[in-house]
Parts: sequence; C-alpha cells; structure tokens
Amino acid sequence: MFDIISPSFNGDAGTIAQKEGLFEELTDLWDREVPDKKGVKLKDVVLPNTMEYSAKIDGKFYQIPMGAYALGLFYDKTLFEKNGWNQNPKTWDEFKKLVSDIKAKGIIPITYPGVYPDYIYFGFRIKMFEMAEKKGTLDQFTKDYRSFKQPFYTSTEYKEMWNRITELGKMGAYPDGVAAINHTQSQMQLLQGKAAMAATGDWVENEMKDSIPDGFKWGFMSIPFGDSANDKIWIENGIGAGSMMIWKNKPENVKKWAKEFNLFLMTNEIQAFNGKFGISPIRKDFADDPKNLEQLQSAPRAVLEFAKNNKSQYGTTVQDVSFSHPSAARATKLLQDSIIDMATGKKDSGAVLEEAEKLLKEAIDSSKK
Amino acid sequence: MAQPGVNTAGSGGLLRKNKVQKRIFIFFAIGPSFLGYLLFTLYPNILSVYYSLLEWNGISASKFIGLDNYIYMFKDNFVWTSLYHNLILMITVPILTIYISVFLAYLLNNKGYLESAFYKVLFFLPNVLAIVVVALLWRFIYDGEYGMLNAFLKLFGIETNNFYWLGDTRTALWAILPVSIWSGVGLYIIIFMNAMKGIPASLYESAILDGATHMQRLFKITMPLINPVIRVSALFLVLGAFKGFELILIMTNGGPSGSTEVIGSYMFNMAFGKNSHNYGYASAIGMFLFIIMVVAKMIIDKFSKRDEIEF
Repeated sequence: MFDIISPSFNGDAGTIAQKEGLFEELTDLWDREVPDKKGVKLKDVVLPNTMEYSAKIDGKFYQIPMGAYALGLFYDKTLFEKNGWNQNPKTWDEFKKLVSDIKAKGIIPITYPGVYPDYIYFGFRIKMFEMAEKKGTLDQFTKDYRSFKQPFYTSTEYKEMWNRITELGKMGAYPDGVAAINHTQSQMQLLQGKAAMAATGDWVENEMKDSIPDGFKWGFMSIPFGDSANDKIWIENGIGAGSMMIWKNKPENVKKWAKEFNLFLMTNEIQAFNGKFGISPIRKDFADDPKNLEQLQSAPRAVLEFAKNNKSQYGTTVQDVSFSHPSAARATKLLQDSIIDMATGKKDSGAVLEEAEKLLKEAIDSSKK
Repeated sequence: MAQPGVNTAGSGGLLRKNKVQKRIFIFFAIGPSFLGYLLFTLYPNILSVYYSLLEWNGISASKFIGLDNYIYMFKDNFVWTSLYHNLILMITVPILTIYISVFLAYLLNNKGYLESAFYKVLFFLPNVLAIVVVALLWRFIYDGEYGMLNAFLKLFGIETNNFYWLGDTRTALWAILPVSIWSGVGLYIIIFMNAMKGIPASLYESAILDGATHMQRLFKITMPLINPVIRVSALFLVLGAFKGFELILIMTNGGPSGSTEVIGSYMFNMAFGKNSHNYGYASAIGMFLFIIMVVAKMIIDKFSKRDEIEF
C-alpha cells in the first residue's frame, strides 16, 4: 500500500475508513510552524473557521486541507454585463429578481446536471448553516447536522432550503429536460450562454478549459438567503482538493517524513502551483502577494473576490457519521429520485422529506442495536 | 487374451504411460481455465452468499444478521420497481432482437446481395464499440437541443420543442430499447447466418419448386431448423436483460426519478453508491437476481420447443 494517498473517496467511504483507524492522525500539524513563515503556526494561517468546519472524526484530523474547493453558482461576467444583470445580489429578493430578469431574456437561470440531481445542492446545501446562524442556533445545528441527529430531513433548515429551491423552480429557474443533462452538457450550456448560472464547483474552469469561448469571464456568487444586505452569505467549501492522508500501518520514520511533506504542501509556493490547476488556496495570506493571485485560475479567483466583496463565511457540509443499514441508502435514493420533481413543485417536498426521515430513523435505530 | 509372441508386460506399461500423458495433457489444457473459474467466478460467488448474511460496509467489522437482508429486500419497493423495469426490457428486447436478427440474417443469406459483406460489417459494428461509446452516442441522438432524433422528426414536420427523450419519465425507459437492440442485433445476425448456412440448399430448392414464398420458407424451413440456436440466443438475451445495467448507468443513471432503474444498477449503487456502502444488502440482491435468472432459464427450457429436426 502507498505511504500517502490523495483522498478521493466515494461519498462517505472516507469517513468510514478514518473511523476504522486506517490513517495516521495529523492533528498535531496544526500547531506546527509553516515552512515558509517563521513563527507562524499552520492553524493561524488558514482561512477562518477552517479547523472548526474541517472534516474530523471525534475531534481528530486525518487530513489537512491543502486546498479547498468552493461550490456555488458560476456565471459569465461578460453575459451579465451585456444584459445589465445583478452580479452580486445581497438578499433573497434580489436574487429572485435576478432569476426573473434572466428568465425574461429566454435564458436558463440556473443549470445543473440532472443525471446526477444532487448537484443542485451545490447551490443550496450550505444555506442551511446560513439560516441557522441567523437564528442563533449555528453551533447546535452544526453539531446535529454532522452527526445526522434527527430531525434531519425534516429540520426547519432542510425544509426551508427545499421551499426556496421549489420557489425558484416554479419561477422556471431550471432547464427543461434537466433530468437528461449530464455535467458536460450543463457546463456547456453555461459556456454557450444558454444558461446564466451553473451550480457547480470551482474546478469547472479546469474541467472545461478546452471549451471556454473567447471573452468568457468567470464570475461566482453564492445565493443569499437573507433579507438584509448586511446578512452574511455562506459559501460552501470543502477539503479534498489535494490533501494527503498517511496510512497508519507504515514505519514511524516514513510517517514522520510524510507529515513533513504534508506541511510543505501548505506553503504558499505550493498553493500557487495548485492554483494554476484550479485548486483554491486554503491560506488566508495567499492573496497578500499579488503574484500568487495571478497564478490562480479565474474561477477560484472569482470565489475569493466574492468572499472579499461580501460579508461571507466559508462552511462545509461534511458529516462525521455514516450508516451501513440499507434504509439510510434508501432515504438518499428516495431524495435523489425526487429532486427533479420537488425542484419544480411537481412533487410535495414535505411528504418526501417525511418519508426520508422515517427511513433514516430505521437506519439509526438499527445502528444502536 | 494375450497373443502368442506379444510382450504384454510392455504394452501394459505403454498403456499406463498413455493414460498418464493423457491426464497431464487434460490437466494443462483445462487446469488454467478451471483455476481461473474457481478464483474469479466460483469463489467470489460463494463469498457473496456469505456477504449476503452480513451488514457490512466493506471496511468496518461486519455484523452477522442472518436472513435480515432478504427479509428487508422483500419489503423494499425500489427492488420491485427495478424488477418491473427489467421485466419490460426482458419482454421487449429479446423478442425484437431475435425477430430483427433472424429477418436480416435470412435476407443476407438468401437474397444474394452484392454488397452483403458491407452490410455484415455495418450491422456488426455496434458490437465492437465499447458500451460507453454506444451510450454516449445515443445520448447525443436523444439530446433535446442538438439531438439527431428531434432533427429527424422535424424533417417530417413533427415539432418536438427540443424534447429531451431521456429526461422524461414517460419516454426514458422506452428510449433505452432501441439502444439495447441496436447494440445486440449484429452479433445475432452473424450467429443466425452461420446457423442458416448449415441448412441444405436442396430444402429451399424443393420449397421453391412447390411455390413457397420467402416468408413461408423462413417460417417453415429456416426457423424450425435453427430453433436450437434461437433458443440459446433467447436465453442469453433474457439473462442479459436482467444482468445488464452499464448502458443505463451511463445514459440515465437510473433516472429520471428512478424510471430507468434496473435491479443491476440498484444493486451496484447499493454497494458502491455515494452514500451507500452496503455490500451485505447488495450481495443479497445479487443472490435474488441469481435465483431469478435460474428460474428464467427453467421457464425458457420448459416452454420453448425442443424438437430438433434432422435433415
């Protein structure tokens, strides 16, 4: 087995592997000095709340985020400028107005690959945390979300997220025949100006680099769920864009040097190198040197720009718990099969969420036996 | 009885040596394939039976739960919905594939077209394409905006308004049928053509003298004589309709809204899905699928004609 791996697990397989103790704990690296800045600890040089919202198991880290990825709505600035559309709506009402304006021009407001319908969550899932923070229940919500505590699918935040998705769907925000559209097709709709915004991640520029037309300028926005311009807008980001995990069952010397290598990957030089290939930096001092920013691809740079221009907050929707009972998988499948119809209001999201909640309860009860 | 002057002890030794050589030959001829069968087919299948009795995500310690997976499976509506989709494919795909293959094989064999060789290559071409290529090709054909199907219908004045054939629950499963048939017909044309070549020309000559039409020759001579081949082909196609899911995984991923989910894709996603790693339950579904295929085979054997006509 390799000494180190770049985690690209399928769904919650990574969580399961970490829980089983297959990887070396890396928590101590947060208190180590970064190699390119004397006297500065790693935990003090990463983006705000990185440690708090990073994936960990029982408080322990098994991967350090070398890079981040951001999820949200990516768009063509040129198209928006040409049509005079609002590139930075600050409130939910402003965003709905934007959707109407786009629809009025006969362009699809929001596209996503319906063949994998949970991509729609890229634009909305983190909004649950945004709503919880506004209510003053962020800490409890985060704890409950991460541990799959019930009510999960029928929590106020989850239901409200779906109410908003459906509200936009009834306005005609999503493409006709979306169920037949895959990643390439939805992203091509964006590049060809047939869709104004795509729910995807900041890797989209690197993925489509051979197809980007001249004049296309990457822009990013996260949907504002608040009703005031002063409300914070949350951006979903995640770890996994290049972090390294170390196998536990290796000689101590190997693990020691693998940890040093992990620390080396956190230098701004490596952050800039990764930025050339679409990986967003995780260092908050990355932008201090303008030369670093120049090396970033436009899509991740647009995310940084949005974060700078708005009262924003990065957050992650990782979960610390997984279930092997088939009811948990059935709950996920039920939702996945219902997303397209729920998004357009053809199916009552409330009823589906209730049923998913029941299935989740079966899985949780089974895990307690 | 020993012949006078014949050294029987020597011939006995020769016989023994022959037997040993024969056994060594059989061992080396069959051994590697049999070993491969044991390692890559029988052993994993036996292991699957064991896994089906577990609750196991593939990494953590497994939990023995006996027949719970099977009890759960019978209450799982997704299993029955998937099987219903398989049933539709099982009824339509084999019948249409065989019908078209026999018809085209008969034409190519008996009509004596000059460009017959070209047609054989053309019909067989889909069989040499990777399943991913076939799936992506047909995704393009069915596309709403740029799809060939919509463009073709427009030629006849039928406006589809950029309809996405794979994006609607009413059409998605039926859209899979032409793909399955198109990608399978070529192989069966070749099989049936070879079977038809074994039919003596004299039978057709006698039939022609008696005034038999092409259709009569096809149904009264050709099909009865190649019936064993048709039966085996039907069996492969029916089993394929239950087992196969790669096309669906790539074209629709079981959507829209689960309307193209088949038992194979459901089982696959249960084991290797994004938020599902339940090898135990997936194995139980696999065992159920195995039983279904055995029953299907028995039904085909029972209800298909076994008469083998000698000529």
